[in-house]
Amino acid sequence: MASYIIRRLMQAIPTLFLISGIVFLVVDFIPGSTAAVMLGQGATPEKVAILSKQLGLDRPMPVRYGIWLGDVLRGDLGESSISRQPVWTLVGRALPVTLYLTLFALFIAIIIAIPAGTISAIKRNSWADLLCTTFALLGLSIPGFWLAIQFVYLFGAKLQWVPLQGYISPREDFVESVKTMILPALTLGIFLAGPLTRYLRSSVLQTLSYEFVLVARAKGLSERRVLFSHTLRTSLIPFVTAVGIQFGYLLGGAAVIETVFTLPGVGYMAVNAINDRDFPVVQGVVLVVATGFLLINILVDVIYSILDPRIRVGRGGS
Amino acid sequence: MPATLSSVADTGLPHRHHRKSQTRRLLEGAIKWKTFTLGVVLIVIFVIAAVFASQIAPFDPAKPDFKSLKQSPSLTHYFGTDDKGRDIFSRVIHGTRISFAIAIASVSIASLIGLPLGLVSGYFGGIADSIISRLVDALFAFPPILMAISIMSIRGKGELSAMIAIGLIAIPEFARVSRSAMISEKENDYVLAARAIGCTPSHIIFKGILRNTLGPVLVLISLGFAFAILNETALSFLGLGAQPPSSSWGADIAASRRYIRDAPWLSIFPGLAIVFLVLALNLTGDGLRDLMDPRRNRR
Repeated sequence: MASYIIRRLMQAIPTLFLISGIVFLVVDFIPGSTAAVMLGQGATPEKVAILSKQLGLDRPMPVRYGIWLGDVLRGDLGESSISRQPVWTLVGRALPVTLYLTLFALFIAIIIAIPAGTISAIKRNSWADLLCTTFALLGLSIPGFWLAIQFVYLFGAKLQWVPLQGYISPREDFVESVKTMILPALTLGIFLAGPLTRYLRSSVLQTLSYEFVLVARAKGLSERRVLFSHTLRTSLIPFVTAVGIQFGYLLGGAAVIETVFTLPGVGYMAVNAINDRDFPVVQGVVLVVATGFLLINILVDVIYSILDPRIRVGRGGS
Repeated sequence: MPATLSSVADTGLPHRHHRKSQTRRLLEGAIKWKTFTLGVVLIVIFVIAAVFASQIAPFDPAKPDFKSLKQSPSLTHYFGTDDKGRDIFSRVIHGTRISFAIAIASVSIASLIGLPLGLVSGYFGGIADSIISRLVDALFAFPPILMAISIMSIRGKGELSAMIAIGLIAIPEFARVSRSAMISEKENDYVLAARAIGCTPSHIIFKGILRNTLGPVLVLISLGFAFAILNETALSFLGLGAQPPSSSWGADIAASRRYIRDAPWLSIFPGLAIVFLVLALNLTGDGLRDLMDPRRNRR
């Protein structure tokens, strides 16, 4: 087991280097200089040139990448060109908000997807199946920002059940905090429920075609036993992988939803930083999110290998 | 929104095949064909709207009319008017053009770069495969919309930047799907035979394998369109895509937010246009996959 985890982590190292290279390259291509952003209104070409030299921005790109990577490996993501705060502090403040939102959304999605996926598989080609698959397809086809606006209109403006926007930390006031988070999480959760429902549906359908299900039925077990203790248990193993991958996407994908609801998460922070040309923050946030995605995928693989020991032997190398 | 190609795609696992009656099989076929047909019909309607936008739209989509501000839907203005008195129906019709233009351009970019990458790494394997696969892995780790925004800030706002950004973020999925299609195809006897009689790799790929991988690639392209439209509207919503006064669904929804209390129709209709177009593309993609998969047809 330990050797499997170590092997997976080792495999991630070249990918992490590539990720850091891509982040640096993309941000480096964005026109405008950090020095000009730092000087703000009072920037003159002379001042920009002097500050650029002080910051080492006049050096060739590979050198700057080396210096940046060295800092990153020492745990230093630099500081914001605008607020002058360390990027780690900013990310550390925003990450819990995004995790809160995405875990809440994941919870909603799973609550919808497990019954919907199971029912549509066991009642295949019935009205219930049609209803569930249509819902799943709609979830995939509705733009999140639009759904968010309609929810705000309905539950915020019309019914006044929840505040229109803003964020309250759960440590401050738990009930109010859930109220501010329920609409963003619901919007994201409905979108996520789409692929998860479809995934579970095919997974259950495949499990039902295995012989052990036939054997369980032949033994005279009740349909309920067959379903819960045989079929669902097997079907949920690949489902865990799907959930993990989707969760990784959500981390950064929440950006648009965070912007609609002005939630101070990493996505909102990144969008603002790109608009403000605050390059160290953009690099830091994107690097942290991409690394998080990679680590979640490794975690999912490890969980998968615990649930299904065949994986440890077979799939490690590919 | 985390619109990803793989989240749009089904898993395509084989289905249960015992205890199925004749009528049920027929019903199943009808449903499959129906969803596919429904998807295609909806797409055709949108294409007609895009091509004949100027003929269909009753009003100039960009011309303000300060005598009829924020009117609710009526027989003159089917979808109502916006805060500048512009006819929303005409704007939605014209918005089809921008969405199609950006989607076509970005799917072309993704196909032109992603498909060859995947085919080469799938066919040759070895070092080329390792390098390309690691690169694709790394690209997958980036949240698509954040990557798109970063790429867009290199070139600035506008339609062309949006096309490039969306095209680039779709490359990894195109590469991955075509790679796995190539791997499963190249083990076939006809490829071995072609190799044995001395055909060049390019001959085998272009004359043989490509034709047989057309199925998964077509599915990929139609789902790629759905992905492109969702991301294009999200970028426009953030103010990065098509710039005013041109009518773009995402930008119109963003502009309507201020009037959501007293004029909800401002955002409802452009949003429904997105939902129906993306739904149509998903239906078509799903239908294509089921129709082209011989394992499913035979049952």
